[in-house]
Amino acid sequence: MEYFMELQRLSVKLVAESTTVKPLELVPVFHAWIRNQKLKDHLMIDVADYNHVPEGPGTLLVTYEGNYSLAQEDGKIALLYQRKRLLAGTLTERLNTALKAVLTASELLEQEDEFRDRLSFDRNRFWVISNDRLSLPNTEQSFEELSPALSEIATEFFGHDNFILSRQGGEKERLSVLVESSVLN
Amino acid sequence: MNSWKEQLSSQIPQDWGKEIDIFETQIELRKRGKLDEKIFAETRLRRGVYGQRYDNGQRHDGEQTQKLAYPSGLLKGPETVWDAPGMLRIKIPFGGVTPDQLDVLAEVAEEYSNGILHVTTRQDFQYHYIHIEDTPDIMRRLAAAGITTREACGNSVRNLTACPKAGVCSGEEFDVTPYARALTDFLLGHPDCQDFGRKVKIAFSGCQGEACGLVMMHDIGALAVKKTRRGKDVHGFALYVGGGLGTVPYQAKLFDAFLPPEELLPISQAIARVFGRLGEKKNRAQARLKFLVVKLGIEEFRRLVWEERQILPDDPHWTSYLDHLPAYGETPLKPPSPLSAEKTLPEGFAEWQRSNVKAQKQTGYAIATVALPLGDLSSDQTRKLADVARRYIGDNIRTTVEQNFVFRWVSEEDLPDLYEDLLEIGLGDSGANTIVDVTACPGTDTCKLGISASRGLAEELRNRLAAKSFEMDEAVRSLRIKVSGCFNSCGQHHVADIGFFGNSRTLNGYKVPHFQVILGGQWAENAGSFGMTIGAIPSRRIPEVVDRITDHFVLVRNQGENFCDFVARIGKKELRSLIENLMKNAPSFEDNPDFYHDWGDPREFTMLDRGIGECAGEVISASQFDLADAEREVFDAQLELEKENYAEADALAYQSMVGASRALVKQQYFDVPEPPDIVVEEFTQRFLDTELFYDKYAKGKFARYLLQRHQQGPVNADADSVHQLIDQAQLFIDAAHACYARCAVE
Ligand code: HEM
Ligand code: SF4
Repeated sequence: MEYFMELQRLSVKLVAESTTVKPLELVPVFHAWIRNQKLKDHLMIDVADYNHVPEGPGTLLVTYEGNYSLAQEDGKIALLYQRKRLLAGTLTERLNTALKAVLTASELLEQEDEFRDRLSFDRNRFWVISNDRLSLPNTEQSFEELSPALSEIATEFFGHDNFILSRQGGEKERLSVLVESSVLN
Repeated sequence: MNSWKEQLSSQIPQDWGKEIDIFETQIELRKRGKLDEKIFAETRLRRGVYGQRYDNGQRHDGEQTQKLAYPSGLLKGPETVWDAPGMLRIKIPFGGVTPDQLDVLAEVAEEYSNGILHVTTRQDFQYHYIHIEDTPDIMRRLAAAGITTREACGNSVRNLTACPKAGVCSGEEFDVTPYARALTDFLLGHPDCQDFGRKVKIAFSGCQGEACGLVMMHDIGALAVKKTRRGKDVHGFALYVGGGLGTVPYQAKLFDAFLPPEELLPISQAIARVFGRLGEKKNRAQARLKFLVVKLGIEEFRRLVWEERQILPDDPHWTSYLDHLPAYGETPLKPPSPLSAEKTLPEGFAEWQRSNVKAQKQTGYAIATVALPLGDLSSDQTRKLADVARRYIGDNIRTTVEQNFVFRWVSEEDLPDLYEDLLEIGLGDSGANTIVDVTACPGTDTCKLGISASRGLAEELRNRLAAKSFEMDEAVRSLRIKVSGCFNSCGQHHVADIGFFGNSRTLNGYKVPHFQVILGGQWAENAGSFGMTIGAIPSRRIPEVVDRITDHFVLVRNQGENFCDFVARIGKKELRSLIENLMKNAPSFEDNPDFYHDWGDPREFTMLDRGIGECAGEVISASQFDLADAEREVFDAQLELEKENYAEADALAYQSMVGASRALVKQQYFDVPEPPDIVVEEFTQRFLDTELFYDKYAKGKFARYLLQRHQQGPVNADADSVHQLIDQAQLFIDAAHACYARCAVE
């Protein structure tokens, strides 16, 4: 098997534009999620507040399977799902599971009483980040290797050919691919 | 290549690589139930792999305790669930770290942790939310950058700390760095440091008067002393022993007023041996070196150590580093320069310079502190900080026990640019080394023993104090605040002007988070004295405590009086009266529910999440470790057999038997040499001739397997012979375990 096919540690990110919600407001919300077992397919453990760290993970919901975080990023709010434990299935299936995880969380957040009308995530684009510099380092080759699987999930998400993949992230950063709907652009 | 092991094999020092491979096998053995959970716990602690809150499989959600149904049900230590995320501590000797190392640390933080690098109160780094199965790869990636996690936790010699200004401080006697390096390398994994009842902490300081090295609160503290002999400078150390924080803090005692450098390593080794032999092993609350020094008295302790020193076999490592001392030195990246008066200075620079910048003893250079809120920085910031360092100072970075970084060798002209670059990455906070720069242990955020939210409180105080730092009286500005989440004092509250440690009280029928207030600890004089306990105050009222105490200090202090002297003069009664009413009149839960929550935690406060700590690990003797090693070797032998590597398998199985017998001999003869001939002879004399090894039914039968194989010498191993030998080795090791247990009972 090709190494990139083994990618397990991956992250998916969505952003919300022009929201008044501050990541710190998520602290009680995530605590309530744990209390109410809001995420059925994750073993939720704790909430951590890193809002004192610029460019940090903001407010973190720690689960056994991976972390969810909501943080300030370039003037926007970013919701990140960082998968840490093994995912089942093919690469495409694994990417899909991670994407679903972030989408589910984004919807749950939008439905929270205190965020209604204040928070709406932009679902015309999402980022997929290889959190594994061994299987999938930040190179053009990795980008090409990852693209077929990403195209598959993007096709399902945006419809046939209605998307653009672009490689992002500086030399020392992880491979990050922006998957974007081309219909709106 | 699809493993870090292959990818990095040429970059990892061989012995480090082997140790990590062994740890990986130990993980595998534990998963298969072939390694006892207590031995595994201490094994992983000695590799820096620590437990974390909620790893006992439960958590209070504010209303009730929920079970955390981790998948495997396996344990990695007593009451510590395998799958629960944990902490990893990374040793940074004397805080020295390079930009390339920071890059790797940042990568690891984002790939396996939460993208946060945390600086501890002993110059280390910590990651949280780490899965144990990721740790071997993490260790490999760090090892390839020259960083180890070995003996960062557990009953071992912990990270060796030193003044972050060593080598550039105008007040120092001499640069302690190369001595600190030599002692670190010498003691790391040293056989004489594997049999402690508790941890040993060592610190170096370049002078007596400043705080930087905190020598007086360490198990072993070395203070630089310079003498002149025949017109020449001679270096030595005032060596102190038996200091330590914890529930009851102890000031270290003078062991030797002038220990020459050639005695530094052997005396430390002799201290380790005396501590290993005579230190308390059963009652862990009495097991630190400080208790042994008090029990024996410093004179007797000194006598025993010197006696031990005399019989130590010579070791060339003791002095080989001395040859390299003259060549030791740091290379500045830039030539020296003055900060020109004409230069337009960025906004905020003056304030930053006042608190965060000190002149170096080398003209034209400065030391700049990079202040980290709560000791945290993100992976992105870490990488950018590494680049900033590359631009201005190269490799000359250190971490500090106040959870910051210092940049050394900043050419003074660069200071304004450096400041702006730091601001850009969110690391330009001023207020380092002032009351704003609050230190805190992990507390209830991640520590299993935490009672109150030390970090939550520290954050609250930092925000409030930063907001008014401009109007603050200078005497108040220069105070230090340190917060621990419980009495164990990881946040070093005993040596702060204003210290707090977490506890709880029941008010109106509810548990309420509190902090005990400790005033007047001395940070200067190498943590020269400890503070005075004033009283426990509800957590939410602690900011008010800080205001009242500091206001009173400004009001009634004598001209030039420092805070410690002020506290001593005013006395406990008056200080307590200042805050006494904050202990009473709790609002009702209905009127003010916040009062019943800790800082930063919206759950109702509870003590139910406390677990058992791993600070002391399990007391596992050197013999028990050796027996566990023998188990691992016989396991490896089986793997080699499966790969049809018969010679390797045979050698491993034989080695496992010799190792197990050596483990037993060690109980009576600690320094038994390694050659198999000697081991087998000693084993025969001490355990067979005496029949100590005999059990009721098999008598000495299993020992014969060892003797037979030993007498055979080199053999042409084949599948059958190896198979047989492995079975025999397993039986012998089992019998050795049983023998060890019998002897231990006796
Ligand atoms: C009974 C258990 C424990 C005791 C008695 C204890 C005591 C101490 C003391 C006295 C210090 C350092 C002060 C110094 O000498 O410089 C320290 C350091 C520290 N402790 Fe603990 N501790 C315990 C458990 C823990 C636990 C469970 C955590 C949880 C994370 C923790 C976190 C730390 C940290 C982060 C440091 C700085 C460590 C370093 O970098 O080496 N401690 N501890
Ligand atoms: S002082 Fe207590 S709460 Fe803080 S880290 Fe140490 S053991 Fe944990």
